Amino acid sequence: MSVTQNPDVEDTSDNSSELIARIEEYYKGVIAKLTGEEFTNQFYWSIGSVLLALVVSAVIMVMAGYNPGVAFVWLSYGAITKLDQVLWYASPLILTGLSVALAFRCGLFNIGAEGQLFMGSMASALLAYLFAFPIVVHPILCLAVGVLAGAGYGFLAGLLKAYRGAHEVVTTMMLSYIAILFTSWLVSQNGPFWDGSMVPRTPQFYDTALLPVIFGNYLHLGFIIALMAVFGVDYLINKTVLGYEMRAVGHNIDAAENAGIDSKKKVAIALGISGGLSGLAGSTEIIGTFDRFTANWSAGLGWDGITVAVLGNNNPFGVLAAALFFGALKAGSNTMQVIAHVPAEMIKVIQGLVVLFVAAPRIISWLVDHSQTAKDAVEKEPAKALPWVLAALFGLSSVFIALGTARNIMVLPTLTPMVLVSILILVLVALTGILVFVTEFTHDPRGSFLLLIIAVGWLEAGIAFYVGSGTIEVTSLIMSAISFLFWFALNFLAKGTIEEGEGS
Amino acid sequence: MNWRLINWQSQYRTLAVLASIVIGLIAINFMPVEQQAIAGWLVATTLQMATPLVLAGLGGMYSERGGIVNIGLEGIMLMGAFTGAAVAYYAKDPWLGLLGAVMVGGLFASIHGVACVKYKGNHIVSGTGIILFGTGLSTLLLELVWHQKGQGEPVTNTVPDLMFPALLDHPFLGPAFSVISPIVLFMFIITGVSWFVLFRTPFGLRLRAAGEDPSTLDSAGVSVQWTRFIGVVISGCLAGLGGAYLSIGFGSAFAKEMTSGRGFISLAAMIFGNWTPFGVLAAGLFFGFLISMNYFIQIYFPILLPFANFIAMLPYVLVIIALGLIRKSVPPKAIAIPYEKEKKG
Amino acid sequence: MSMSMEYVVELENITKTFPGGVQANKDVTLRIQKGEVIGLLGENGAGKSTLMNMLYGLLQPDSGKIIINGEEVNLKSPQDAIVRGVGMVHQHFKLIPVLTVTENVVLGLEPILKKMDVRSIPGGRTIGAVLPIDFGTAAKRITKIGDENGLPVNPNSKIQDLSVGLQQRVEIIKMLYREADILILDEPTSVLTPHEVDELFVTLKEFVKAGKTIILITHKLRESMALCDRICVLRDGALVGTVARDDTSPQDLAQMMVGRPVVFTTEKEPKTPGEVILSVQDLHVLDNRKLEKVKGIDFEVHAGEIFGIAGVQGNGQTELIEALAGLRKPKSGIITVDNIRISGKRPRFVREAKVSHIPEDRHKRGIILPFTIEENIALGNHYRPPFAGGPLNAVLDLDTTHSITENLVEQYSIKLSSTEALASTLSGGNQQKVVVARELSTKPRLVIAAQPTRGLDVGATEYIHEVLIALRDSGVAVLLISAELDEIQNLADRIGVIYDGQIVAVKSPGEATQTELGLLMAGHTDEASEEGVAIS
Repeated sequence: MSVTQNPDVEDTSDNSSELIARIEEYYKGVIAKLTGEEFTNQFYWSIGSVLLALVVSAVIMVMAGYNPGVAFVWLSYGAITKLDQVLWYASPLILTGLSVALAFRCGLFNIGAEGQLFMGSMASALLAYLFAFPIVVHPILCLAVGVLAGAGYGFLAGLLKAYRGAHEVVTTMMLSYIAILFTSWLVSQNGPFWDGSMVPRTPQFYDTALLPVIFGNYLHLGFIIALMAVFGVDYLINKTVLGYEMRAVGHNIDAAENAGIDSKKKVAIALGISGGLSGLAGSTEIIGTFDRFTANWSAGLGWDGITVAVLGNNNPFGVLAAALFFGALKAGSNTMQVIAHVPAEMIKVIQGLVVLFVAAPRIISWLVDHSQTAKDAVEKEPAKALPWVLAALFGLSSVFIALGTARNIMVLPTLTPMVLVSILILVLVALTGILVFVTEFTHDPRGSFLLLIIAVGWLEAGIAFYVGSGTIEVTSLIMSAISFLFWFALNFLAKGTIEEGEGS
Repeated sequence: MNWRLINWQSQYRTLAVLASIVIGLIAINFMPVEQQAIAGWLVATTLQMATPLVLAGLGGMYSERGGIVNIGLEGIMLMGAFTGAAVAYYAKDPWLGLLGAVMVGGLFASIHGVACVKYKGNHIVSGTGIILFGTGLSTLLLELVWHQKGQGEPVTNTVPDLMFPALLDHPFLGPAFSVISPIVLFMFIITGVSWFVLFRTPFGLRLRAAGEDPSTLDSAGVSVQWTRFIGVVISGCLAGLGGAYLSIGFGSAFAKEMTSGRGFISLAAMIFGNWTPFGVLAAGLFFGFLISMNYFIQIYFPILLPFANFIAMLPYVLVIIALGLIRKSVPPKAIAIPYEKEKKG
Repeated sequence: MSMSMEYVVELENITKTFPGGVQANKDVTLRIQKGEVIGLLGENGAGKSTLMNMLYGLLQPDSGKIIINGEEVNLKSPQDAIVRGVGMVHQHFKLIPVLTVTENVVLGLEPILKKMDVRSIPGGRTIGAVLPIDFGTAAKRITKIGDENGLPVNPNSKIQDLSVGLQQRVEIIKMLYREADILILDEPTSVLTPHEVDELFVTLKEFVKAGKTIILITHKLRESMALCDRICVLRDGALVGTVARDDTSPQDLAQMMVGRPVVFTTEKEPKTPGEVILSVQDLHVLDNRKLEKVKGIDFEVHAGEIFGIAGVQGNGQTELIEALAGLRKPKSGIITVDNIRISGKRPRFVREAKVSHIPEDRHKRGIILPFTIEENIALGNHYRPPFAGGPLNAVLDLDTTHSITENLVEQYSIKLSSTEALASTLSGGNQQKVVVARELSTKPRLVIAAQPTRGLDVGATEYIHEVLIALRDSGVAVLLISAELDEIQNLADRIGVIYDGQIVAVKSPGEATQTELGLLMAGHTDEASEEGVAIS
């Protein structure tokens, strides 16, 4: 990186060279952080979570009768060709993600970003249609008011937390619902800001208030604001006294108080700033994308902020990357829905799975560790270790096969109660398959017992299907035979090793 | 049973509740007949609105008493509502539908349990994942099963209501209790059972210990992981049942995101009820009453209709006031803290 | 085979390494006979508790064998140890404050109402988990056990309403309820007054007479000499040796514990104290439960003097320290430092009055583990130059912080990989050095040192003692609060004894023996200090 920087340094005059040196140093710091072990680990975890989530959602798609390959191709095609949409979707997510991440660095879980966003956007909307201002001043004022409204709303939860001990997860969540109900009342036909139409919404904004589109059909200035916010939040957290104190409170409130930091004030301020960022997200969207405030306009931008912050590990640049990823998913989902006919709801499923896998990073370290052990064991003593690994893979594949079979049976025209029972058994078989995978992969002795269960399960499913429909289901019988084979092989082998162990 | 273990304060509270119910019934008895009918209708609606809240709230209580925060109730309820409707639709049997909802709820919660208990994930992050996953999957499956957007086809075989013809002629008891869903009755039963399980059985004692101080439970030779995991699974089963009540008990079809925040209100009810079964029941009934007031004013006081949103806000406002000003609720001590056995190193 | 029958517990070649790489036990072999009291002696962190946690099934050894009553066992959970008669009282009591005594005692081994007991039939254990507990019988049995062993306790009171001594009683009853005959006690005396310790020892001797085996974990030489038949000494996770009590002396044991002859006193020059720095007048402080913990304390600390406060834990020391550091508002009373009133002021004001505070719980108040060492060095002064700069001192000066940290690391010889490493990567001793370096680098007038050497090895302890004496010699006022009488006697120029929230006596180290101080700590005044006086 420094190679590309050097020509710039030579071109500039001496006065600014110091500044540029500082910028370069900052740059190097960022690079060092990016290549540091902690960050790369986190990076692998995030990528791993995303990949696992994609695999599981592919399984769900297969189950639902879609072609995951086609879906993913069109998903990525859509994301790549509609870059402006990707960035457009990402910009509010960056801001709400930063909002949640900043609170989290102070040890607070702001899950009410949605409410702060509504309050911020409402305030901006009022300024945007009630008052006329010159062209540049108007949006700036709108944004400022939006930030203040969001900050005030976050600050309220902060005060309750700091001085009354009310847990912020509960209060921000409740405040969120209050904000949604309150703003939708404001613009409803009973509220003061209704435009008189059939829809609960405000009148149109003045043109002067709107943010200009900067690229493509959708992307407005809000994206640049969001980018600036990324750097701003990074600077605030890592380089300022306020950020230091907020982090100290977040990590160890007793030590922070002992060091003379007013933890209550910091908690309230942190939730205030966090709310301000959410408010900014609402403002940029309402005067960038929309031209009036409609009740319930945000379909969960605040909730997605939690997801983004989690995936970005509460690091501002991580948040940026995660928001871009989710923006890409959203932009691509339209193409996916139109061409591959996979409903856009699939995206929500993928997001949920990503968050679940991120929530438990140890799943990935578990997989990595045991794969390594299994690999070593196979290399050392292939005769002993290979059957275990194969059994584990068998367990995993029987999950897919069982679910696939269940789906095939489900679409058959003959749905007798016994067939339903066989579907139920197949689902249970799939669950057992997961357990088989886990136990065999970790060389747990209970694995062989589970193999027996899964063998019987497959057999029962086959019998139930035969009784129910009168036809023979081949897959389950074959799978049952394979499971019995594995069970025999492993039990025999296990006994062999035990005897060997006792002999020595 | 050792009655000395029950503290006196709670006995007084029980007496007060019983007394107010009796006084209320007497008061209603003296009202004009048409007002008695309205009161009866209000009671019936309150019970209907409260049932999903109480069931999910009790579920949340099982989870949180064991030390695992479960904000994923909303997602689990949605999956329960979908499964109940789908199974009842296919199998033409509402009871199978309820069973399916309970099982799927438990299954979904066990995902949360594995992530939080086994892999020591962040409870709130994992709960958020459950909400997203449940919301997305139930909507996706809705399209898949009924090939419709927004709302599924009506289920004909919903859970049959219990009839009490003897009550039908009474001006108050008639509209209130003559037609009642078995799930509503089950709500009262499960509240009592939960109290018993939590405070009178080994499992309840262990669950409370897991939520207060898991290391003590561990040193008493009980598996903290299993205790907590079972608590989470029970929470999913109850939330799934609560969801199914919406789709095949009270309503008769599954609709996209039909729980509309009930999972969160039930969390509020749990906090409001101080993590105790009867507290959750009382809070759930109260919130149910507030929701039914919404319908009440729509029908009987259209003049107040413009302020319906504010009445809908009341549960949330009350929780904030309760937490911010009264500050009585004391959550289990070890809540949201993953239990690590080997702390050193 | 016949050899092993004589022992109730045999631990053979036990090795345990924690995930972080700390080797807690190295190849420890220990054989315990029936009916003996064996002492497990060692410094903090020597691996005593880890070894016993493995015997109790809480932890599993990486390698080695555990044999109980002649049977080799694989203890997967405490349940496996409990059924074999092993019981343990942990250093931090395993009791749940909001539950009753009965509930705490029966936890994990709940009796079911007799009519419903189905635990004998297959699967009955699972069903039994949701059948009613027989609290009545359990309470009766607890009362009976308590009465038989001289440990009366009300089975229906909640743990949070009991005193520490009674809580320990509940722990012991818990072991007896489980019919344990191998009793492990982990540092049982650290929260007791000397008199309560005597009572405990009487009880324990009764247990031995009844044929039980006792394993006493301790780091106090006197206790192991008073109670144990044999003493095993652990150092750095390895067994140094096992000696019979009658063949050894405290000096020998101490040498085994630390690995070299120990000088029990630290050299220090006599010095005349200067003007009054800290003055405390009629201080009253409440604790979190609004109980008065400090009940009218008066004392003064002069420049160039170490004032030691001795006392059993929980007699108001924590609240006193918190009030002095500005962390807790006193109910009444005046605290001044250099004639500036600091009582009721915020911690930052107190710090700006040149007061430094080495907190008693390093991990709780002293250090932020996920912060880097540089960030920890700046903590407390981070908001003012040289650590902060820019407009309104709002921006951190990371370069200056770095150079200051480098200097302090060298000055205090803190062992670390990089100043940008996280504080959690340091050993306990080095973490404490970071705290001490930070607190003393600001040129304080008064240093409040609370338990400054808790959990440190001998080397680090000596180093911190030297630093405190050097401070005193340079004219700083030092307030030393410690539970270790030896430490107070070695360092302090004057000793105040705190009991029940009051300073009951001020002595000079020369005029008071350990026995006298011990009696004072237990609430005896000078007049009643003869042996054998009953204590309420």
